[in-house]
Amino acid sequence: MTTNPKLESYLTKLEKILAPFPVSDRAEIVMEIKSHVMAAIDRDPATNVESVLSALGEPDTVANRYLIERGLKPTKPSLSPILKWIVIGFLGTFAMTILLVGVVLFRFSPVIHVDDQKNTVSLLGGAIQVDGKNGDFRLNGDFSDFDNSGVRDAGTVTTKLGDEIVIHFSNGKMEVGNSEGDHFSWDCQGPHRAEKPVSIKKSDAPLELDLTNWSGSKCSFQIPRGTHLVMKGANGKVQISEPHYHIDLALLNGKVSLSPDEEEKYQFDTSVLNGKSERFESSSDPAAYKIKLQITNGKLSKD
Amino acid sequence: MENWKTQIRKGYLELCILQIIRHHKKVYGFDLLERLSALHLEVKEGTLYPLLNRMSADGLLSAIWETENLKGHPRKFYSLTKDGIKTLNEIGEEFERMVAIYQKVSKAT
Repeated sequence: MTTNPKLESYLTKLEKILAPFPVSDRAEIVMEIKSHVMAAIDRDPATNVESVLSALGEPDTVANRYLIERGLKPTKPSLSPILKWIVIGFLGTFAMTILLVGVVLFRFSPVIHVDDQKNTVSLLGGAIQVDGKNGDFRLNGDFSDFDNSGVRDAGTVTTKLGDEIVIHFSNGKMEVGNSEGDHFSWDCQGPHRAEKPVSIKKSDAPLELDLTNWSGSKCSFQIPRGTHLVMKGANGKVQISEPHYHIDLALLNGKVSLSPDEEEKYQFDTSVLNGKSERFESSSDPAAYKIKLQITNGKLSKD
Repeated sequence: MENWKTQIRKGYLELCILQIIRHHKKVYGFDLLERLSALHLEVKEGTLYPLLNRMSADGLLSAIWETENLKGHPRKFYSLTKDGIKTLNEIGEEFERMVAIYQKVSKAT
């Protein structure tokens, strides 16, 4: 009896689906089917293995009949191996994606956490931390080194009523107060490794103070009455006391505290995207100072 | 018609198979297929073998493997067990009873 590949392939498929049967039973069934094929060829030498096998029917059909006769559930036809592996690959990738998303969400939650006592704002589960006291900001424990004794820059510029004063900073603590006269002054201390000194455009309006090269500065400003303060910062703390001027402030991450002057009137437009905000009462007086405060992640308070 | 045939067939087929095996004492699958075909009681081979397998599992048939000669391939020969003979008699009687009823029914007025 020489082996015929078509026959062997048929018998292999048959045997596979007969898996629920005990191994010796499976072996006997395979033998009997093979014996049938042999007998058919003996009977009619003109016939060939393929036609005998096709007369038998598909191996899974025949195998399922064995199962059904014995009261077992027929096996569903399985996926072709290629399709099976494509499905496995897809499911595996999907599972890994879910896992990755889960890890990211877990690691980076809570998105924002404001701690009043310690005066800190923590973002993305601690990936970014902003220290309200000093205007520090850290990435995951990496320090933005603040040596406040590093560099100092101070100055004064005379302004007119209605002038615009623009201040840009990246990270820092800004204290903003009133100027007695008509001059705008600043006093900043920056880190040792400040690359460039503070740049200030004094000649043409608007007056611009660019602190963005000073990553981590502590400044105090004095703003003259009736001017327009525009302040844009990335991370830090801004403290504004009893302002006598219009404000347009945008801070990405951090804390802003504004204590209104009881004797002045203000029109507030405040928004905190993620975080907390206290309520500020607006006045309908057209002469009121327009105060616009926008914080993306952080806190807005009155003290 | 086909539906009725299918329904009646299964039981009837088993009865006939048991009878054939009883008469010939020892029958192998392919041989049985040919005899049934000659009787115009056609069964597909893919159906017969599972049926024989089940009848053996039910204890109606016993089987032995025999090889004609050194060059031949082994064949599985089926015989009736004691239980098989008993069951055959019972089914046979029941069948004859049914035929009698049918004859009565077809003559009924």
